[in-house]
Amino acid sequence: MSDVLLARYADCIFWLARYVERAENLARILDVNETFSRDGHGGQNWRSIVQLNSDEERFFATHPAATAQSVVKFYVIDSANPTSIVSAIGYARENARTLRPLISTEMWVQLNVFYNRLAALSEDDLMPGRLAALFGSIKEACQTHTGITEGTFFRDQGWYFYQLGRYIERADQTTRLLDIKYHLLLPSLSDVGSPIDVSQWNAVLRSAAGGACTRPARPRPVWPVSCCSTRPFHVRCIIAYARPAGCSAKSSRITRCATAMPPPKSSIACAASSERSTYRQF
Amino acid sequence: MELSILDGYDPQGLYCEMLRGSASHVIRERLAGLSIDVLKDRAAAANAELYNLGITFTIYSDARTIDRILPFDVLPRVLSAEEWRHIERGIIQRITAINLLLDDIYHDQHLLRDAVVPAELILGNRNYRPLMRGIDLPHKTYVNICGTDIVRDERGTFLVLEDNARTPSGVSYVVENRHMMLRAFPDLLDDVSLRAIDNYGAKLIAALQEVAPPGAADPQVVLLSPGSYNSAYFEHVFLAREMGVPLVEGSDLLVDDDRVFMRTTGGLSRVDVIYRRINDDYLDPEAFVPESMLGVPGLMQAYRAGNLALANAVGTGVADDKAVYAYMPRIIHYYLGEDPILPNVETHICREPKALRYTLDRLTELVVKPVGEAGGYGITVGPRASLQELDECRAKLVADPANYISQPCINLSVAPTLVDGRIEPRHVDLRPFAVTGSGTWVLPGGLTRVALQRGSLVVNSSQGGGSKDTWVVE
Repeated sequence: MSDVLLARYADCIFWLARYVERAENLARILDVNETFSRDGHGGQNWRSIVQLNSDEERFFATHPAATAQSVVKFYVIDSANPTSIVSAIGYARENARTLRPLISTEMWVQLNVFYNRLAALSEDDLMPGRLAALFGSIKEACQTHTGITEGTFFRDQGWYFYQLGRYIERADQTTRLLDIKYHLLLPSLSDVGSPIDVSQWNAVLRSAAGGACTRPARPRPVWPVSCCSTRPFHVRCIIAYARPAGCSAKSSRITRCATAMPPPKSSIACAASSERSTYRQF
Repeated sequence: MELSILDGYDPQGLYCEMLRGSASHVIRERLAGLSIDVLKDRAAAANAELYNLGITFTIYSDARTIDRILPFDVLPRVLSAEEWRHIERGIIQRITAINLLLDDIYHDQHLLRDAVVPAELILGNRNYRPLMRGIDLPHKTYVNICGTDIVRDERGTFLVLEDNARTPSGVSYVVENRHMMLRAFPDLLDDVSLRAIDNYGAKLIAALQEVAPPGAADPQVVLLSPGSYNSAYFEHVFLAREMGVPLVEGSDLLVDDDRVFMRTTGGLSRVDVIYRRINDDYLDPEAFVPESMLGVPGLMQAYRAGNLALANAVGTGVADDKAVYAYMPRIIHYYLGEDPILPNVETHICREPKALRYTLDRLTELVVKPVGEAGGYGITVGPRASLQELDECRAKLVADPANYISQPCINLSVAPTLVDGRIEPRHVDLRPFAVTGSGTWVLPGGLTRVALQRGSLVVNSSQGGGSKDTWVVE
């Protein structure tokens, strides 16, 4: 089947990858905010997560304020919210269900069990003392998915579409994160370099899985330019991964799609996602 | 000496597959070493695993989707090699006759001219497709996949209850039940020689390639599904995987110049054979139901032009009709000159005056069924009917006898089944699956469905039925 791939399957593979990547990023952002951003700017921090996902309208229609509790509930267990983790994994699972002829049983079972576990969560599971463990388990389940995929997915066209979806989503998430930090969290120039600024950049790095591993290589104060290009969540790095995937898929449309993401400049906010609010059901 | 889990088991005078079956000592000996608690634990684990594996049929309600498993009973149903040989021969005979019947009614109609079956029963049947007239199919095979429902009566005689010659489902459970059995009870299966069932996909694709249009060098087979919302979607996935073919939906296909193509990342790619899990009515909006979103416009044109094979062929529904079923022993005799190896359940065709008189005289003992209905509608079960219901039934019979058949009440055989932590007798049936290309092959065993409700004769999955692994022991 390697030389013939249904166009609909390619679409499903692309979105399967995106949704899992999205869920992992969201879990990481919520986790970091929960653990490291409990400071005087708590309210603003939680609100910025809603802004990050362009969800202000929908969120504030049903919630009076962006508190830790309301934001976490909205983004973890609210299945009526299409940008929640449970929705993302639900869509990933529906795509996987469609793809079952192509993917391994292990890939399907892991997503199926993962989704059933998320769908069974209640507000009790979101109590402050339990959140770190919950986010940890969500991230681990997403990473288990990518591990099983790496180990069992056929290295055919489908693989490229998977990579493409994964990296485009990652680029999207990283640029959103930088955009929000730069424009929303710290509006005043005079605050640049202040303790609160450094602590927020630290949170950004941790959100993009870069906290602990960046500092030994860069024994200097954390600063935007220190988002070094070998890190897996670095936008240039992501595009470098995605471009050959697009070329190998032998589809000019795909290549255009992969290169549509603006190249990273030193001005970090530039790449703020060209694909705002991209979610589809499945 | 440990007590066997079957010690308190009482089949209450019914034919028991476990106690009377000639090969079931194999399993009885092994079960003797198991406690009921171990059995319960492993049964619970097996059913949980089915859920995790997503071997489920999906029920869609207003707000959410519910995945249900077909409950799996861990006590297998065992058939001896002799019993199986008998069933297998009977099914091959029956499918051979059905294919001859279909070829005849869409060509010269000898059967109707010789008045073996009333012509209006065939030509007036809503599943008779006039546009199939004159089309020559490779190997004259119309029914490539058949699932014949077989029951066993009080004396242990196998009887055919129904021929499912359209899009029978359930074969995925046959294979998955065996896998589950191997995982949950490796000790029960140790050193037992069972007929293998793993080659279903290989046999199926070989048969489908045999009926490909002449000229297709390496025929591309696809499986056409209504989509992931269909309750049998798990089975569609299973079959596509086992055959190694794309699982397509109607929107993936298009017809151009009477040829069928699928949309791929590399452009349009030719399709030669479609194993379709969509009813005739929805296959092609240009030929059948115009509102169908599931089908492919122009498909029937490509089919009639000889550029495509469909499995099963269009118009097979006439062969598994209840009224035609009643004539099946005569049909087998007409085409093959043989008596049926597997008899029908004794059926009285009320359009015939003698049968009508017989039916009216014994209304309290018989089941009366309308021929045009499906899903159990309009059935009068004599032994359980009130006087008023019997009177109503009598009036309908006299008014329109041709619309009815009658059959005796069959007490289906039972098999020991784990229910609420106890072993109890439950009624079972058997659906073997047969695959036909140039010849017919029958998957050893088949799907044993079990009615989990006490006393119930209804084994359908939609009505609380479960299933068992079915062993054919060498």
